Amino acid sequence: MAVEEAVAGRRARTADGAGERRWLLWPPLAFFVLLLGVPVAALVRQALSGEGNAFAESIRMTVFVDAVGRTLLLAAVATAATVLVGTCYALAVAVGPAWVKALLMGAC
Amino acid sequence: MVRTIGWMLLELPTGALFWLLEKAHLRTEPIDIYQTTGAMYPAMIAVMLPFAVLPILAAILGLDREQLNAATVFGAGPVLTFGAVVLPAIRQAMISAGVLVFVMSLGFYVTPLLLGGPSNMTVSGIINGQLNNANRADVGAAMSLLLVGGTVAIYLVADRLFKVSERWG
Repeated sequence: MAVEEAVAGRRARTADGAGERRWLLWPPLAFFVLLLGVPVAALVRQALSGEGNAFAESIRMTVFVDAVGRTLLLAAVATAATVLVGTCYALAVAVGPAWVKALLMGAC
Repeated sequence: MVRTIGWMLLELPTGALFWLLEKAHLRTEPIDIYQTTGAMYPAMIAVMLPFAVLPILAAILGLDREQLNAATVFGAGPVLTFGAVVLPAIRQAMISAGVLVFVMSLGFYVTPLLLGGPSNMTVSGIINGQLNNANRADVGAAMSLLLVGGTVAIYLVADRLFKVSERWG
């Protein structure tokens, strides 16, 4: 029964072209593995190469904890301000005359 | 990078901003905003602006003109039209833009380094310090992984709450 369902599912996927289009997944997957997976694996290897526990040491460092708080605050304030300014900017681009659109999009 | 250096030249104690204010007879003393927390925000907004403008602009351009016409016909002014028609239609794009900008802002390095100074070091700056100055590559790598993990966790929570990947996908 399970085999029949699997075959039926495969036939359905082939019929709507999903099977043929699966190769389209390979370039982004390869990109993902090369540009994110490999560097992250190298970081894990590096982090575990020290004598002590680098993760515990990082979390115990006051300067790191302070920087995390500062980064989150900075990102939150910058995000709120950017979305506010960006909305006004986008409205101006949408309703402005052609030269204003060109100027604003060029400056953006 | 160019934008950040532009803002740096603007915010220097006797930079372009001081020059303008001096010419307008509004200030005679040098400005002391360079390498402060406040100095970073305008530059960060300038750097991040395209990532907010483009999704919001796409949502605005996708608005149904008939709804705007109907609001005008029924006597709604610009403020009411914006609040009742435009804002609900672009809210999801604003949230998506906000998530994108927030996640990207967590990795800011150059702008805080140049404009915020050593007292306003972000996580990226601390990681750089561990790798290049303290010669602790293992701690720097652990901090990098904590930053990546935290960023992914924040994105997943935002996606769960606001369904941003559906908007982008």
